[in-house]
Amino acid sequence: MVRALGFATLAAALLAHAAPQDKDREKLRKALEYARKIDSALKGRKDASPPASDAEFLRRVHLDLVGTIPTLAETRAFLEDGSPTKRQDLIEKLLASEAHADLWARQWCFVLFGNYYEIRANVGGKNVSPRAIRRAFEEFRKWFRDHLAKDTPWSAIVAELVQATGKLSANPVLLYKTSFYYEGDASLNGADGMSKSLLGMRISCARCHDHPFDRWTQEDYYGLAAFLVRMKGMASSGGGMMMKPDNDNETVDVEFVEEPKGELTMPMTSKVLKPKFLFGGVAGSTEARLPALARFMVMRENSQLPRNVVNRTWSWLMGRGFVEPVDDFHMQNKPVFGSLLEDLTRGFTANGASIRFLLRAICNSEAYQRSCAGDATEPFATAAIRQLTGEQLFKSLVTACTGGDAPDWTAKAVRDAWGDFLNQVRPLYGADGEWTEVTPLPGNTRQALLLRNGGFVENLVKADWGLSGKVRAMSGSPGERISRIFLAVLVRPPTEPELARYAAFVNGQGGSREAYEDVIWTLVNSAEFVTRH
Amino acid sequence: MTCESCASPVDRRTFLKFMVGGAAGAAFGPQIAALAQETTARTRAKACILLWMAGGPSQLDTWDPKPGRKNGGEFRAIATSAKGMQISEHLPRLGEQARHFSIVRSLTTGEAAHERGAYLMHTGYAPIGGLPFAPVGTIASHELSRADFPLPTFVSMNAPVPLSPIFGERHLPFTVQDVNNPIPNLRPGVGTDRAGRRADLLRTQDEAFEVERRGKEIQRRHESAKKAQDLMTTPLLRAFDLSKEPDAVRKAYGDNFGQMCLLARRLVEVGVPFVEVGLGGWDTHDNNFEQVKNLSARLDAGFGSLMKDLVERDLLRDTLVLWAGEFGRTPEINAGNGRDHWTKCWSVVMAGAGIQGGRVIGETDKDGMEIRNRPVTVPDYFATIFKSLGIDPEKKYVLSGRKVKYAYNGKPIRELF
Repeated sequence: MVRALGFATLAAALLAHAAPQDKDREKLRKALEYARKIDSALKGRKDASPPASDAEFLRRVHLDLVGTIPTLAETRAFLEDGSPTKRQDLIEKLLASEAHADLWARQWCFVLFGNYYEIRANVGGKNVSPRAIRRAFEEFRKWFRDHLAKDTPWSAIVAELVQATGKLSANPVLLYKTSFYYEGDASLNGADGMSKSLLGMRISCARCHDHPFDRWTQEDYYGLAAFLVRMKGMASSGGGMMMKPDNDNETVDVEFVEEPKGELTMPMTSKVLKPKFLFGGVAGSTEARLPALARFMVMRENSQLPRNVVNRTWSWLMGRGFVEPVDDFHMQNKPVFGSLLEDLTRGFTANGASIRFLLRAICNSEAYQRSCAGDATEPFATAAIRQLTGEQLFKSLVTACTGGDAPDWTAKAVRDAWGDFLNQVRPLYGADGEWTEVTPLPGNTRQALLLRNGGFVENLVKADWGLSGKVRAMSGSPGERISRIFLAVLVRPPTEPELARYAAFVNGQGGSREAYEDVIWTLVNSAEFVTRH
Repeated sequence: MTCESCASPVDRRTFLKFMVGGAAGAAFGPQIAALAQETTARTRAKACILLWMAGGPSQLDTWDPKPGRKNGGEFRAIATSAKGMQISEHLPRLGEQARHFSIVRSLTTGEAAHERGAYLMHTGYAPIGGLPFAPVGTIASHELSRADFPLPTFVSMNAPVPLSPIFGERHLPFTVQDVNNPIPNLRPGVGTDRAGRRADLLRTQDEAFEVERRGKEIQRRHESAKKAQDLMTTPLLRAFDLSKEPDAVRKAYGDNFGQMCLLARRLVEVGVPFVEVGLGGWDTHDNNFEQVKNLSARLDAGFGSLMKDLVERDLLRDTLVLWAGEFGRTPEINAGNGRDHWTKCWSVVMAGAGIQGGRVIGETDKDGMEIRNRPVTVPDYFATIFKSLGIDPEKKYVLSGRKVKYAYNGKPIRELF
């Protein structure tokens, strides 16, 4: 059989069946090249913080990539591992996990929708049923999660978002467009929304006049909106869905079509605006406009699409973007380390518009792996300190107070506890806060009271089945028990002074159960626990 | 079409000035911000209670009745304790208090959508590209409070306040969800001695961590932790306890809205500078009259009792009371016996802290369709608020490198003082 095949064909056949590890290794190698570029661009600052310890890195990368601290078991394994590539291997492991795709999909959903528990829409005078929206959102986030898990090129995801038509019930991707149908004209809301979330630009000033400090004119604004003017969302009766509207003013489905006719006239004039993309690209006169818009969004010449992804991803990991605010790119808003931003943007595009490429490059850099201690005020010279998000706080509390292996996040008791916790966390943001479980908590007085005096934390701290019980049951000195508590809660061993202080405390209380509970309580309430650093 | 993105017509030059100031401002940022934070010295601090009417309350059916006219609708007008001022028949207790408050009937604005209108009426600015303009509560809290005051200095109840971190954590609204349990999680779940031991351990643990870590997140957490501790132990906490009020008083104030008004009075009594209380449901596109009648009964009990108490306790002198929503409602009644959104001419009410009572500012025509005299803009409304609180309306804060005035070129309504 082998003789019948040419050598080249055989080689091709072998490569096609190349082990997935080889492809991954190649991708990793490319990403590590860019990690070096990052470090090269950021080197030489005298006040840069020293490298983070293994413990600091471990906790941080877990919180960032999978939304929780590691378990006690994982912490011990990592700290004791002697492999020189352990950090890189950990990053790969986390990136491949379900938890990662799930978390980062929701982060992007927040970019697209804001508070995605409060998406509202009104089509043809009817409110879109909140139940229908909730169901569509569940499907939308799973669609996004699956793409992240497969590392689908970003351009493919954006193209789907922009050109989708049909019924919301059949295609949950349409939820994005549905969200434009609220308070105001949908094509204008769509122009605003797409610029903000996909391009990182606020152009709504240009609705009324040429943008005061950026290059966009009113014509540019309406030229963009013109791509959407033929898009029409209509109330529909819900195809295969078994939902019924609650009243006559409600619809359970929305159908999107692109009409063959319809033009956008600039307000206060009779000027008809042809669809023209912000970064070049005019739709042909007989071309369907939504696919044309998709084409221009993802074309090579539109570097703002990848630049926006790079900037946001960087800001999530490094504490601030190259450009801040991250949705406010404009001419006067100069980036810091602009040439690094351009390098990464080119790299992102050259490597399949892959989010995973970006995450590998950034997380493997020395810049990401700096300590948070230090006086540096310059950007990216020290690791960012942030309030934990609601999800990070909940999962970290439960993980810490379990004090062993991973909690079962799907267990009913845990899901119920999560629901309760969210209900207590919601009011912390105030009546008007734009928040979800993936936004940093406000870190305010009410939050401090919730953690110090609230029943949820108290019950976790005391739990017999958890860390408290395990510490009591284990054999060993007070020092060994305290070390276990530190590893479980703060993901690091105690320092000598800490060991002395807590041993003295515990011994002063006769090694009582309450004393150990108080140690756990103290650590989960500490600044070190409630922040990402 | 009016420019919905900007509060007032803005030309390129004005914005360029903004940006030039901004570019320089960015260099001097911390100094300018520090200047903006110097509170003006005063002998006696004032307070403000804002009653927020979500939905856009109908002016013709409350403060600017048109008896005998088709647009006047189903309600009659009653005389009040203020000469020449008539209001809706469904606000009798407020009618008795009328000589203590004043009505502006000629407010004119341009934001007819709920969220935008609410933003405008809270901050004085239309929402612009996500810039966090400071709502009046945050400014008042910043200007009027002492740094060491143990209670929250901006309390909000059932109101959608725009959040602005511009003056720091302390001046964001502290939300009260339930008047009967206003501050959840106040009591430790363990005995006092044990709580004390825990507090000591926590303080030491945090000190060590904070030594090497600067930055605003650590600062914020440090402040919240301290504030939580203060709140748990201050005797002023009794102000939050409504059970200390006699039953007769609680009954007079009425339902939950009224109880929140009562709580607001207690809070300003002990020195909280700004309290906002919301009463929603005013978006009466259909069945306007029945709904407004019900809302008016609740409003009359709560607001009426509040005015009475503030007068009797000699608090009105130093307490500014504001009543407003996001816009008014159409004079012409629609097919659903309702009224729709209306920004051209509508009413707000102001009282206390130097504002003379019993006055009517501005007039609408006999059908409520046009302003007959003395139009008042949102900047004027805000300039009036700040003047009465003893705050300079021209003062500026720095927002993304741009200097923003507390009240954008408004003029205080001199006829009110």
